[in-house]
Amino acid sequence: MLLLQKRQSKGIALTISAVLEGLFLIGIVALGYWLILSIILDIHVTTLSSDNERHAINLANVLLSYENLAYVKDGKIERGVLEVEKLDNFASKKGSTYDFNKSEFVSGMLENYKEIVFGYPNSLNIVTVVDFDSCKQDTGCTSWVTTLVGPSSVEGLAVNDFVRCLSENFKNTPQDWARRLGGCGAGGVIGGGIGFLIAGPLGAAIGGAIGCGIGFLTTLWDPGDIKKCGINAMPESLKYFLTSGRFAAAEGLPTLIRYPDGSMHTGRIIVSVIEWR
Amino acid sequence: MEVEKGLLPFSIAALGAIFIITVIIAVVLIFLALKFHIDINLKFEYEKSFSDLLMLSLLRLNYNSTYSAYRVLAERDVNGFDDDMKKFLSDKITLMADADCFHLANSTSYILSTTCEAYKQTGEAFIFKPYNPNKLVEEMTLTYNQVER
Repeated sequence: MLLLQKRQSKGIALTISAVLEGLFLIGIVALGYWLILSIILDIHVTTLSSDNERHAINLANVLLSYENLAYVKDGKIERGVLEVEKLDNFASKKGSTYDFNKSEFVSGMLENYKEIVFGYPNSLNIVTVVDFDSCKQDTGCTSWVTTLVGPSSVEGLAVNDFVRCLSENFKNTPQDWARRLGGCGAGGVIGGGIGFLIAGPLGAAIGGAIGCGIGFLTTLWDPGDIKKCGINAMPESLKYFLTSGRFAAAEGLPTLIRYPDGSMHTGRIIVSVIEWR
Repeated sequence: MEVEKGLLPFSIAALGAIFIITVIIAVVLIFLALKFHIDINLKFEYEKSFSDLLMLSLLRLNYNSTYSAYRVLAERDVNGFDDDMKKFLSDKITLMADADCFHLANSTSYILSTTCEAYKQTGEAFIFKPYNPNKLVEEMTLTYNQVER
C-alpha cells in the first residue's frame, strides 16, 4: 500500500515536472521564433533602407557635378560648386527652411516636378539645397527645393501591386454580398433623397440608381483588405519614412553655393529618394 | 538504479533545451552581425563621401578676392598664416562639418586644431605647394567629430 502511494506520488511529480518542462520548452521556442522573425524583418527594412540611402548619396554626388546646377568656369565643371542662377531655374521652389511647414510650399514643390534621365527607375527624388551662410534666427536659411522623377517602368509601379492585391482579395461570401447590397441600399436612399429634392420623383429615381451604384462600388472590398493592400503596395522607402520618421541621408552632403558677385556660401545638398519596386 | 532511470528523460529534455537555445542564439547572432555589417558599410560610405566633399568645398572657398582657402594653405610658409586666416578656416570647418572638435594636419604636424580631441571622421586631400623646396605635394587630413543629431 505504502509502495503504491509512493509510486503514485512519484508519477504525479514526474507528470507535473514533465508538463512544466514542456511549457518551458514551448516558451523558449516561441520566444526564439518571435526573436528571429523580428530580426529578419529588421534586416529586411535595413537592407532596403540602406539601398535607398546609397542611392541618395550617389544621386547627390551626381547632382554636384551636373552641368545644369554646377558652376562652369572656362568650360570646366567645378564639382561641388552650385551656381545660384542655375539653382533658381532648376528648383521648383525657393524660400526659407521655415517654409517647409507651409502646405502650399510643399504642394508646389511636388507639383512642379522635373523628369531626369539619370535618376533611379520608378523613383521620386526630393532635392534640397540649403545655404548655411544665410541662416538667421527669424527668417531661417535660404533653400532651394525641387522634385525629380526618374524613368518609370509599368511593371514596377506600386499601383499594379495594389490592383493585383485587390483582385486576389475579391470575395464572394454571403457576408460580402450583404455588405455590398447594404452599400447599394444606403447609397440609393441618400442619392434618391438628394435627387428628389432637386428634380422630384424622376430625380429620386436617377439619384437612387446613381447612389446605389456608388454605394455598391465603395463596398466591393472589405475596408481591412483595402488597407492591407495599400500597406503592401506602399514603397519600402515610404514605409521606412513612416516608421522611422525621416528620409534617407537626411544630413546631406557639403556643397558651395556661388552667388553672381563671385562670393561663395557654404551649404548642404540633401537628397531623399523614394523608390517603387 | 530506479532514480537514475527516472533522470534520463530529464537529461534528454535538458540537452534538447540547451540545443534549441544554442541554435536560437547562434541564428540571432548571425542576423545581428549581418545587420551591423550593413549599417557599418553604409555609415562608412556616407562618411567617406561627406569627408571628401568637405575637403573639396573647404579648399575651394574664397578667403578674399585674391586668395582661396587652397592658396592660403598651400602658401602659408611663404605668405604667413595669421589669426584671421585661422579663424576663417576654423569657422568654415565648424559650420560645414557640423563638428564640435576637429584638427587639420599634414603628415608631420597640426595646422589647425581645437582643444578637444577629434577622432571620428577623416577627410583627405593633396595640395600642391609650389614654393616648398623639400616636397611639392602635401597631404592634408581633416579629422573631426560630427555632432550627432
